[in-house]
Amino acid sequence: MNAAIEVEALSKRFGAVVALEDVTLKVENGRVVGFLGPNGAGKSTLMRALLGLVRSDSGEAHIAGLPYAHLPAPAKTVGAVLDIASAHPRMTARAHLHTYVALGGMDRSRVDTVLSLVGAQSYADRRIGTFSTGMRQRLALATAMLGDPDILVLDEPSNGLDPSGSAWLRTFLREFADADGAPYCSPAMCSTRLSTRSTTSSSSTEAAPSGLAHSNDS
Amino acid sequence: MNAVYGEVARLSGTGVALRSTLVALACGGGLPLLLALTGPQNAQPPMPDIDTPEGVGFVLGIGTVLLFVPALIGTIAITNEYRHRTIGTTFLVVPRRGRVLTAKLAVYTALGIVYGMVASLSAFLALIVATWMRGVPLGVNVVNLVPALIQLSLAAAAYMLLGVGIGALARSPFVAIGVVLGYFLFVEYVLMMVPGVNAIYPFLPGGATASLTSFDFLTGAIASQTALTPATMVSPVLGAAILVAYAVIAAILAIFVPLRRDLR
Repeated sequence: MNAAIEVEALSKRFGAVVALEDVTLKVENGRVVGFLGPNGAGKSTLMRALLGLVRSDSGEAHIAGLPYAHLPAPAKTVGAVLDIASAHPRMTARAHLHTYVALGGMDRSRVDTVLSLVGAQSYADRRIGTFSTGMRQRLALATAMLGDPDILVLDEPSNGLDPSGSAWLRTFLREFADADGAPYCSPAMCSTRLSTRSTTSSSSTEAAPSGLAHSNDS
Repeated sequence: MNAVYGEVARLSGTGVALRSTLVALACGGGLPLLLALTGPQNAQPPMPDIDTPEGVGFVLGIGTVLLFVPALIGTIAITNEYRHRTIGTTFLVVPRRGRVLTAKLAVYTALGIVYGMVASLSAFLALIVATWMRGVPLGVNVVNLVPALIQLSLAAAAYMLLGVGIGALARSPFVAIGVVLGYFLFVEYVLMMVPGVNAIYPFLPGGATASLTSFDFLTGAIASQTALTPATMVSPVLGAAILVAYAVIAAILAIFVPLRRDLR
């Protein structure tokens, strides 16, 4: 069986800036993995390369054994939150979700399902421009969950969430992984969450050649 | 087809479709109504009134000077995808970018045609209202207006695609809007006034549109005030072909430029 996520010797330069250098990692199903690293270490770039938004100079990145663009049903395999600002402010949350449901050929009933999942029903028909950061974060997570994916890729998923929102997110990700999904997140927030959880579960950190580090919490 | 449905949902959800229709109503009918009410014979240089075929053609043709508006709508809609960073989420749901970009082109071509039809209808209504208010007959049979109105619709679709292409190239809404407004409201007019260079005007988007609609008022007006020899317009068919060529180039740019672009 293929690993949920497999990256092999991935490198990427932006002009003179080396963003990723020979990064290799493997994430199995049912695990929550957090990336640690200082600003500019390349955490977000690695996620974008994994999802085909940034073209790597060399190396390979596979999800469920295939490059992201070759997945037969990408939104049903991977849900991603890379940028919580990625929504048109004039749209309502419901219209935003309907757009991506239509684009992905998904069942329209998923809109209400994910709104309920992230607790956003009460502001589903408000314009996104009026949302707080936390509300945007929940909408971004709802968008990622539209395809009912097996794998989640989240970049700084708790940014803007209040303490109860952060607690909710921790529970959400743990339950997702326990259901044999493979959440995978980058971020400052993850380091906090993982270190808190390290008192009750094993964790490890290893440095990547580029200075990027990732921490496993099983 | 999912990509097309998604783009239609986006147009509807962002309100672009509704606002585009309202703008078409205002831009299509506003200027012709003003001109038809005040009388083309009072323009500088004076033109025949709307009780003649030439006068009707002039009033409809003046609407073409606002064709930069559909270009602007296409530009803003595309650059907003980058400004609000929705393009990344779109490519995550449909990672084969060519499908998304082709769907966008198809949807914006349709929106451009709808814009042109609404603007044409609005211009036609403006003529009817003006003839009724001034108590003068319309210079042409209504049936004879249909080709002109179809030409205006197709020109609007071509301009919308031009805007989409410029938006895909520039990405920044401020740069793209500056390019569209600067070119259509300044550069083309300046080129019309430069001796020698003005000969290429019929091959520019504005000149091709003027040829398509047989609207040579602007070149004539500039020639009369600058002692320049007015540029010779090409045939309506060639004008249409030039506009289509610009639209095709814009469409190719809109598809191929973002295809390999890194979204950081």
